Amino acid sequence: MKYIIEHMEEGFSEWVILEYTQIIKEVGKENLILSSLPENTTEKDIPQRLLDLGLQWTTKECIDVDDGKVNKSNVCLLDPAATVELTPSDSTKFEYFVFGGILGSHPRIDRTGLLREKYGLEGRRLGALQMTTDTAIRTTQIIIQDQVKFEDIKFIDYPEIRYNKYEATEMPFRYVIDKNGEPILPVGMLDLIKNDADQSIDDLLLE
Amino acid sequence: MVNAILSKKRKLVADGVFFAELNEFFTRELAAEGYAGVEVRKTPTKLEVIVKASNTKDVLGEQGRRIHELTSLIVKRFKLSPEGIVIYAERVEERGLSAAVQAEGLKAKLLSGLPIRRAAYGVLRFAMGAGAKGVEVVISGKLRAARAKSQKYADGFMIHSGQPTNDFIDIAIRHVLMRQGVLGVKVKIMKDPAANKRGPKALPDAVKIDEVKDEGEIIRAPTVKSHKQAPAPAPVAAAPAVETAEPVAA
Repeated sequence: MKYIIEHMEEGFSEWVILEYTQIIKEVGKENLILSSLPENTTEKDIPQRLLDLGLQWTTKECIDVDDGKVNKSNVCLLDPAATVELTPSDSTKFEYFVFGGILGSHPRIDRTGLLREKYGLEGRRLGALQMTTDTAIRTTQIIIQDQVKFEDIKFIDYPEIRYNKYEATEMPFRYVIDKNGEPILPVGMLDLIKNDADQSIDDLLLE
Repeated sequence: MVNAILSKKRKLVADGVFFAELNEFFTRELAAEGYAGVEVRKTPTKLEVIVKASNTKDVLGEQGRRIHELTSLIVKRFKLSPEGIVIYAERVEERGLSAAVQAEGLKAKLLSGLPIRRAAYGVLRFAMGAGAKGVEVVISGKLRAARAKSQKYADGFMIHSGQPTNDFIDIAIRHVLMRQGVLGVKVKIMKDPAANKRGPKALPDAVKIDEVKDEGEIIRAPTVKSHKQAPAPAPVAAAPAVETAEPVAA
């Protein structure tokens, strides 16, 4: 079972690096492929941290990866706009799972739709609410590998992370909870979210 | 406005629409002057529009020029008679307690490049310093290279539901438009109930318990005063006496 992430953001921001690091740790570096990187990408453009973890990357599109072992019948696109939910029985049907490497907006602006139209792959949904890329892969792994139904997975929706008496941040996504009842976030993400408050409009205008 | 005879219901709705349009117009036009709200009063001769702002000098303009322009704009839009309307500018007593002024200020600070945390804490400090019971600032949106999130900053005490929200809370929402998208800014200020001019002066569930007074005053035990009428004894006693007397006389 392999996971393919279509890289759809510009470059590699800190957020993306932390999420991908978490994914590689959870699924193993042989099972993750980063596809559709820009044509002229070289090793130097990939962050060192991801290379150290053995990230597999390619400029090819998701359907061309893995030397042609991928064909339309064994690929599933995880799409919030799909109509059919992902079930444990899909493990026999699909071998490759494609995700959009998108840093989502709230409300959702359906950037995964670009993948849907481009490749025409069969789509499966992971519930109604938007998830981060690492949560989506974690959920897919729980459903397909551990054969747990979506309804039986424990989630927390729109968690509010409190930093101190005055400050809190609400993340408008669905997260998987661990056994302590806390949402599973990539390592270092909490600090990153806290530091995002120090951004200003100058950071936003920098392209 | 409409001069035709309207039914009471339609008239009330039309007044509401008029107020809403005026408010929106002034919000956009007087954003830089710290606009905080309007009040529309109908007197027998004129329609009075009172504009509350922090910087009334700029609202009036040189020799009343700005306010004159605003009046003529409103006259033209609603087809009123120029003598039938007058606009007054009133200074907002306490800027820190007006959510509209704070939201507009926060929007300006963000657009000028201040970090979000600093701008938000500035609003919190200013409002609490002005004597607010509680403040809440929410900045939502998607920053570049990050996921969408909602940052909440709060201080003091805040209520969210019920009639007290109509009495004590001021909310303002502004959109900070940027090239990549929009940031939403929400400011909610709860004023001190005791300082309320009109309406209740405390929250409905506030109970005041008086201190015990020990003056050594002797309090008599409570007695019961009976108001029941005792049966009149005189007529009953007289009748048999008369009757017994009668046979003797006869």
